[in-house]
Amino acid sequence: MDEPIIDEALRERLKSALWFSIGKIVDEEIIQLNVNATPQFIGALTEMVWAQLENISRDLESFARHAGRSTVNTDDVLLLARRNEGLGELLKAFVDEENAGKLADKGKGKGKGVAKK
Amino acid sequence: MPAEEQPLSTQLVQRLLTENFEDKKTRISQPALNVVREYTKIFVREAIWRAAAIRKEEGGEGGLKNMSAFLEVEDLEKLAAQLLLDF
Repeated sequence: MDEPIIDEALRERLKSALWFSIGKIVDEEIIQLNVNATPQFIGALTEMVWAQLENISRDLESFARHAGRSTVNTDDVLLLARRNEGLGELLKAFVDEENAGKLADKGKGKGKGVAKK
Repeated sequence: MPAEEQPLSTQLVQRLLTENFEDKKTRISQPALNVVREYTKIFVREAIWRAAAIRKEEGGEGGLKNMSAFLEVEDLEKLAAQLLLDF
């Protein structure tokens, strides 16, 4: 457990990618909030998200294994929000929306299913 | 949301998750991945909003209301413990 699972170079690359993504979300939000953010803020936020993703990967893996699966599914992810009702509702609404979208896409797909080479 | 540009790609989220799975055979489904990305975005936004709330409150006290506020690392330090409990 003490051994880092990810090697150092890969870790740096992934962290840069995460930094870039979080920077974009920060840019979107600060316009609405009428504030600015220091680069250090974005860096520290990246570290927090990184640590959180490390934790939830282990949780998700455990949830799936507990259910006798080796693939993490949507129900496992919803369990992450088990202690936060508001968050749980947001995520459930997101899942419902995605499912509704998928049904709509399927309907559309039938119409243009002829475009095969 | 097909063509909409996402600030955080599912590919990146997938890499970050799978690199941390202890069992290399563990996989994650695409719908589940989409929810993890949403979760992560909510986490990030929540951190920013809470930091902005702290900054505005303190700016108000110090009479700096008209200066454009900068979110600082110390704002994040103040909210980190509670945020991590909430997520």
